[in-house]
Amino acid sequence: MSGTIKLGLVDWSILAIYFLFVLGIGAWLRRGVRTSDDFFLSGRRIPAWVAGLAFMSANLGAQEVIGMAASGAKYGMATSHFYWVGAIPAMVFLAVFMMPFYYGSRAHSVPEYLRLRFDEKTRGFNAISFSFMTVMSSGISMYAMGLLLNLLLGWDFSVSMWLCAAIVLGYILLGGLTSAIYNEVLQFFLIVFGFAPLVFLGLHDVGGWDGLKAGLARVATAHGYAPGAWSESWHFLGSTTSNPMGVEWFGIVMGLGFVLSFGYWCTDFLIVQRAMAAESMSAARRTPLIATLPKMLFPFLVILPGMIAIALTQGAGASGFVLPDKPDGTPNFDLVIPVMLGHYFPNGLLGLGLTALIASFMSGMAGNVTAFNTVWTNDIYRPYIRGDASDQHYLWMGRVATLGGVLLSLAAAYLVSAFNNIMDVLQLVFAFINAPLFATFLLGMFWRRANGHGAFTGLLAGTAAAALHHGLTLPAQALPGVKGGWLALIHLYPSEMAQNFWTAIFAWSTCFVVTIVVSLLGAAPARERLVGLVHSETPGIDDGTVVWWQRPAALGAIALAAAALLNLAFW
Amino acid sequence: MTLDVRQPMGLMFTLLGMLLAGYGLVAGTTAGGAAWFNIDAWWGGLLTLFGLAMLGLAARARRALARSAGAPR
Repeated sequence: MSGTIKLGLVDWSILAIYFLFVLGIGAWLRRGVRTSDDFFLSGRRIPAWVAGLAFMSANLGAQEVIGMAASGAKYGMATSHFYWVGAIPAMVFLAVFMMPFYYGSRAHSVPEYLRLRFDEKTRGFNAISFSFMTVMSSGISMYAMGLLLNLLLGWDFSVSMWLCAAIVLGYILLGGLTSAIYNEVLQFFLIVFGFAPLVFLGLHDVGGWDGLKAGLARVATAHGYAPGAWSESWHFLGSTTSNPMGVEWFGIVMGLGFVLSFGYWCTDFLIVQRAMAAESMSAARRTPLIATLPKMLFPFLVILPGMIAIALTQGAGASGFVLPDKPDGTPNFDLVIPVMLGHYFPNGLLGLGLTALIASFMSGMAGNVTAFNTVWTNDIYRPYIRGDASDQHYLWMGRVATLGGVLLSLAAAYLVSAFNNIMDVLQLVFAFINAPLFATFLLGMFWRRANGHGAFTGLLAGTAAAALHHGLTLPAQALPGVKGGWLALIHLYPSEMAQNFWTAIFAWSTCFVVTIVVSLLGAAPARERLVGLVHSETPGIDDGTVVWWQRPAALGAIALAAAALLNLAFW
Repeated sequence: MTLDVRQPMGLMFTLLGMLLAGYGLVAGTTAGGAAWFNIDAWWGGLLTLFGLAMLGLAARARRALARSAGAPR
C-alpha cells in the first residue's frame, strides 16, 4: 500500500506553514538564551498553563497517538485505564506530594534530586539508564514516523526521519527548553484540531455511539468474548480470560495504575522537567493538575478512533472503511490513525491531519531530546567528565548534547526496526527502568531512614528482578526471545500486556523491600541534610492564603472525582 | 524580550484556518469518507476563530502589562 495518499498543494502549504512557525518560534526565543539555566530550565519563567499543556504534550509521541489507537482497536475501552486509572492519579500525586521536593530542592533534574537525597552512585545509575531510555523512546518515535510516511505517502523512510529530526534539532538548538515547551503547546492544539474531525467523521460513519457499540459487540463475539468486552472498561476484568487485554483488575490497579503509571508520570524527567521550568512553586504544583483536564479527555481523541476502526472493519460502516492486514493476516492496528486520515479526510483537512501526526512525533522527540541534553550535561558530563568549566561552556555542551541526542535517536530508530509492536516495547523498557524507580522516590521522599546504599542496591535489585521475571515468563502464543522466556519458562501469561504489568509489580516490590532492608543495615542519613528533600524534615507549604480553586489539593480532588466519574460512565 | 506563545499560535491557526476554509469554499464538498459535508470550510472557519481568539487574548495580556508597567508604584 505504498504511497496510497496523494497530497495536494493545499496540504503541502499547511505542512510548510507549520514547519515555518516551529522554526520561527525557536529563532525568536534565541535572544532569550544567555545562560545554561535558560537553555535547560527556561530560566524557570514558564507560566503554569503553558507548562501544563507542554507537560501533557511532551507525552504525545508515537506511544500516545499511534500506540493508544492501536490498543483501542486491540483491547477496546479497557485501554482507557492508561488514563483514568493510570495517568490521572499519578499526576495528582506528583503535583500534591512530590513537586514540593523536586521544585523546592532547586535540583536541575530528577537524577540531581537523587544525588541531593541519596548519593552520587544512585544519581549516576539513574542518569545513565534514563539517557538510554530517552534515546530509545525517541528512536522508536522516529522509526514509527519514517515507516508511516513511507507507507502512506511513499516518502523515503530515511529522508522523512532526517528532515523532521533536523527541524526538531533546529528549534531546540535555537531556543532550548523554552522553544521545545512553546512548540509543544502549539503541537498540542494542532493534534486536537487535526484528529478531532476524525472522531466526528468516524462516529458518523459507524452510526453514532449506538452503532459503535453494536459493531464492537460483533467484534467481541467474533473473538469469543461477551458482547460488551470491547465497549466496557471494568465489567470484564474479573478474570484474565474474559477480556481481550488478558489482565484482571489487580494487574490493572497495581501493575498499570500504581507501579507503571506512577513510575512514569512521577519520576520520568522528560515529564517532570516541564513542571520544574514553571515560574514559581505554586505554578510548578499546578502544572500537572492543569494537564489532567486534557489528559482525561484524550481517550476520546486517540482510543476512540481505534475502537471505531475495528468496528468498521467488522462490517459496521457505510463508507467501506477496512483496516489493512499485516502479512500474517491479522489487522494492522498501528495503522488505525493514518489509514483513517487517508480514508476520511479530503485535501486540505488531510494536510492538517498529517501535520498533526508529524507534530505528535516531533513533540515526542523534542521532549526526549531536551531531557537528554539536560541529564547528559548536568548529571553525566559535569560530574564525571568536566566539573570546573564556565556556565557558557555548559551552555555550549547542552547544544552539542542536543545534536548528539538527535543523532543517537536516529541510530536507535534504525536499530528498533527489528521490533514490531511499538507500544509493547515501550512498556517493556518502562517496566525495566521506571518501575523500580518509583519505590526509590517514594521511600526517599517519605521515609527519612532510607540511605544511599539502600537506594542504589534497591534500584539494581529492582531492575534485575524485572529482567529475571521477563526471562522466566512468556505471553501466550509467543516464542522465547525478545518477548520473554529467555532463561526458562515457569509461567505463561494470557497476553503481553499482562506480562508487562506483572514484570513491573515484581520490579517495584523487589526495589521497595531491598531498599528498606539495606537502609536498615546501614547508617541513617544526617537529618540536617534532608531539609527540603524529605517530607518529615521539610516545613509544609501553607496554601491557606490561596483561593480554593488554585489550591493543589482542591484541584487534585476535582481531577480524581472527574476521573472516577468517567470510570463509572464507561464501567 | 519574552514571547507570549498565544501570539505565534494565534497567527498560525488564523493562517491555517483561512487557507483551509478558502480551499473548502473553492473546492466544494469532496468525495470519499466526508462526502456528505464540506468539512474543510467548516473546520477552517473554526480554526480561524480559535486563532483570532488567541491573538485577542495575547493583545489583552500585552495591554494589561503595559498598564501595570505605567502605573505609579
